[in-house]
Amino acid sequence: MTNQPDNRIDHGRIAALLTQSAQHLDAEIVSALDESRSLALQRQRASDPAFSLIGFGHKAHDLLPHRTHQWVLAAIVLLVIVTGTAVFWNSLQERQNPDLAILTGDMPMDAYVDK
Amino acid sequence: MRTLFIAAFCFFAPLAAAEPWSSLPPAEQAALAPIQTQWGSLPEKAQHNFRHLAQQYPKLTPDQKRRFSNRLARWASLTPEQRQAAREKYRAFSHIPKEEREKIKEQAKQKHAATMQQPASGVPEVNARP
Repeated sequence: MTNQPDNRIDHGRIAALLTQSAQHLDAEIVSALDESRSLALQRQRASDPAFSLIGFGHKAHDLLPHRTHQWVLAAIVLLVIVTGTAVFWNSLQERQNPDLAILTGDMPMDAYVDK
Repeated sequence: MRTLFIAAFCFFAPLAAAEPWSSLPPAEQAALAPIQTQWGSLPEKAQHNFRHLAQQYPKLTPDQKRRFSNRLARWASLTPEQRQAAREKYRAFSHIPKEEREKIKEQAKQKHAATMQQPASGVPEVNARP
């Protein structure tokens, strides 16, 4: 067995030393650090919204979904609206187009008309 | 959705008043010229449908315009039941696979050509421009 020094970093010990050192800092330095921390947190909050739009600002951000399930819900609602619109237009065209298609198609009209 | 549309149509359809031929815009008169003599005897709903068709007329190709003009009078002379039956047939035909549809179309064209050579009773469809 060899008595080599333990080179592994002890994070807990470092944190304790930093805490101990921080207690001996000047009030002026503590105040400056606190101010820097507050400023950093404010900047983080401002850059946090992923979909903030220029011009719409915070209102747009409030209206947009933030969580995954909200996005899924919004996608489902959008899908239902798009599908509903497509079905509506399809039924509308089905009602209106047969006459025009029968009158203008290359299939002779006799093929559709009962004699 | 279809039920909702039909209900809305039934509600608004009676609001469409019958139009005398003279009050139709010139473009609609030109498109509906083959049925000018029948116009006054057509029900309001039919007039409304024909006006809608006439509004689509400018968008048609020359071939489609020719067929439209040739078939319009015959179409107007059918009873509402006959027209509805034709629409149902058209819808059913639209659901057939395209290859099969083309075969049926060719057969129908041949049959129609044979009928044109030996005109039977009824109003034949005229394919050539007068």
